[in-house]
Amino acid sequence: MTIAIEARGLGKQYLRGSLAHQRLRTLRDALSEWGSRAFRGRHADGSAGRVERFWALQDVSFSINEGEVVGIIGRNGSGKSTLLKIISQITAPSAGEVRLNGRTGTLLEIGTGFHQELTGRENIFLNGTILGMGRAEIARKFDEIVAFSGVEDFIDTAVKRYSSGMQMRLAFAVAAHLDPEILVIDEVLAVGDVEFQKKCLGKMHDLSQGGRTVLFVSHNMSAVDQLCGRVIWLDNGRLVEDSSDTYAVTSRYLFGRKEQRKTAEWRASIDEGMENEFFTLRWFRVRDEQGATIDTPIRNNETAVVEIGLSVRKPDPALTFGYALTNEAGVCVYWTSTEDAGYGHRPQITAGNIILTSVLPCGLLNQGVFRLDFMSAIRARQWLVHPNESRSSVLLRISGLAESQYLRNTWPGVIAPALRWNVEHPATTEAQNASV
Amino acid sequence: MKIIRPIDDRRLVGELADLWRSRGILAVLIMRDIAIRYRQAVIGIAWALVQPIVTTVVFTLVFVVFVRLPSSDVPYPIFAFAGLVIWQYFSRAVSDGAQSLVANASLITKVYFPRIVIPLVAPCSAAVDCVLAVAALVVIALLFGANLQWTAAFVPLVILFVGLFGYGVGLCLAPLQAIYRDIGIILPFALQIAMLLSPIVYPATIVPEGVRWLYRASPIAVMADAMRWALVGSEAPSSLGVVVSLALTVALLWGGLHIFRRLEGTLVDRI
Repeated sequence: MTIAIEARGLGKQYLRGSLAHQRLRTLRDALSEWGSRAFRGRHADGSAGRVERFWALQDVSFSINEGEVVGIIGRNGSGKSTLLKIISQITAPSAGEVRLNGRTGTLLEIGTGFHQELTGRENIFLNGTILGMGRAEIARKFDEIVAFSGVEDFIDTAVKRYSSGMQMRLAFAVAAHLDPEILVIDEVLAVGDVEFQKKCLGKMHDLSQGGRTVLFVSHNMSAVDQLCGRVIWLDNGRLVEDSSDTYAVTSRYLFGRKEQRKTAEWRASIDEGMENEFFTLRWFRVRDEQGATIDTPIRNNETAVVEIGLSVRKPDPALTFGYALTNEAGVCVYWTSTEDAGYGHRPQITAGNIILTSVLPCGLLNQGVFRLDFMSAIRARQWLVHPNESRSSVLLRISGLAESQYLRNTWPGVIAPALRWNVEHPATTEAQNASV
Repeated sequence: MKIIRPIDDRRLVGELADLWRSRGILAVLIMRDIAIRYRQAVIGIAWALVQPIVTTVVFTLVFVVFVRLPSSDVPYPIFAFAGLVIWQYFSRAVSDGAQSLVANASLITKVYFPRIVIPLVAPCSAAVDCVLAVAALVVIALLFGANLQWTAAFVPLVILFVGLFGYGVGLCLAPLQAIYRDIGIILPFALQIAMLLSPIVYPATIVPEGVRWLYRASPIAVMADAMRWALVGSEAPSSLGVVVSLALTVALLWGGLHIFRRLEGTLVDRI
C-alpha cells in the first residue's frame, strides 16, 4: 500500500503570546535590537531571552496510507490546526518533515477568497481556482456546482445580496467538487444548521468511500466515529494516541481520562472514591439486561439500565440519587432522580449496601455520545454531589435509531423519540357509518 | 512527492516554476482586482482616465500659468501627462504591492499557493489602468499635433519595465509590511516625496547642473523620460540611466525573491 502522508518528528515553535507580542514589535525595535547586537558584540542572549518560546506541536510522527480517512481530535490549542496548516503548507514546520504523495487540497474554511462584490458565478471561479481547481475543471463542473448549491436564480447577483445561508451553500458546493488525492479538512462541519451539517457529512462519507485520503479535524465525535477509520489524538502538541479503534479513542478523549479503558463504568476502586457523611458511592455504570456493562454503541431502542451501587451510612428520607444526561454538544438532555416518582412510590433508601437501577428511556435519545453524571442531594436542603461537579461520570454511545433508515446521519433535534403514528380515514369511516 | 521542511530548499527555478503553475490563480486575482475596483461606480473604468487628466490640468495651471516654466519642444500638458501616467502606475504597483500580503491575509492563512503571486497582482491589474491612460495620452498627443514615431513601439516595453520595477519593490516591501506595519505608514509619504523630487511634472533642465546627473540616473526619471521619448520623440534617457535602472530592477527582483523566500514559510505566523 502506498503511503500518502508521512510525518517525521514534526514540530512547530511559536513565541509565547506571539500575536500580541509581534504586532507590537515595530521596525524600530528590530533595528535597535539589531543595532545593539552589532555594538555590544555577541549579546544576543539578552534580547532573545525576553521572548518565551513554546512548542505548539512537538515530535509528531505518523504515516497515513492512501485511501485512509483519519480524524484528528484534541482540545482547543492542542495543535490540531497547526498540524493541518503544516501539512497544507500554509506555515512551515520548525522541526521534522512531511512527505506528501499526491495533489493536496485544503479546506480550512468554507468560502476562502469569496468576495462580496463579485457575483456567484465569478466567486465560483475565484474560489475554485484558489482551492486548486483548473479553469477547465471548474467550467466542466460549473452546472453541477450551481445545482448542488441551489442558488441558480441568483448566480449572476453579487454575493453580498445573498443570505448567509446561500453564501454558505454556494461555498460548500464549490468545496465539495474539489477533487484532490489528499484532502485536508478543518472543522468545516462546525458551521451551519443541522441540515447543512448533514449534507456535509454525507459528502464526506462519499469522499471517504471514493478511495481518497482524508485528514479531518473535528470536535464532533460521532462524525469522527462514523467517518474515520482511524483517529489521531493530540494533546499539548504531542501525539497521545493513534489508533484504528476510533470508538475507544474518542470515548477516552471525551471522558478525559486516557488511562481508564472502560468509560461505561465508574468504580470507587479505580478512581478516587466518592464518600460523604451520608453514603459512599461504590460504582456507577450503564449495563444491559444480562448485567454486562455496555461499552459499545447501542441502538436507541435497546434496553440499557443505569445502575448505582451505594453503601449508605446515614439513611435520610430526603436523601435522593440520580443522574444528569448531557449530549456531546454540552446540552443537558434531562435530569432524573429517585424523586421522580410521586410521594409514597419512591425507592426506600436503607442503611448498608444497596443498588439503585433505572432503565434508560427506550427509543428517545438521538444518536451521539452522552455523558451521565451521578448526582445526589438532600431534598430541598443541600447538594451532596452536583452533576456539574460530579467526578463520577460514565459515557454511553447511541448509534442507530429505532426502525429508522437514517442510520448514518443524526436526526435533527436534541432527542429522537420513536413515536407512534396512527392514520384515520374519515371518508371511509363516514361511509361505513352511513351504510350501518 | 512533495517534501515540507522547516527551511525551504527549493531553487529559484523551482519558485518560478511554481509561479508559472499558479498562473490560473494570478489570473483570477487580477480579474478580481479589476472587477471590484470600478464596480458600483457610475462612470466605471473611466475613472482610470479622470485621475491623470485632472492632475495634468492642475499641474499645467501651476507650472505654465503661475510659474511660467520656460517652454520646451514638447507641449507641457503632453509632457506632464506622460510623466504622470508612468508615475501613477509605478506608485500604484508599489503601494498596492506592499499592502498585498496584509490585504490578502484571510487568503494566505487558509490556503496555500505560491505567495510570490500576491505582490504580482497589483502591477498587473494597475497595468490595465495604465494602458487606458496611455491610449488617452496618444489621442491627446495627436490632438496637439504630435507625430507618432517608430519609437512608439517601445511603449509596451516601457510599461513592462515599470511593472517589473514596481514588482521588485513590492516583493521587498510586502513581507516587511506584513511583519512591521511601519512600512504602510511611511510609504505614501515616501512616494509623495519621491514624486516631487523626480522630474515627473517638471523637466530635469530646471535642476541645477551639479545634481542633474543624479536626476538622469534615477529609475523613475528614466521611466518618465523613456515614455516621453517613445511617444513624442523628446530627448532619450541617458544610457547611464537606462543601465542603472535595468540593473536596479534586476537587483530588486532578485533581492525581493530572496527576502520573500526567507520570510514566506513563517509569514503566516507573524502577519
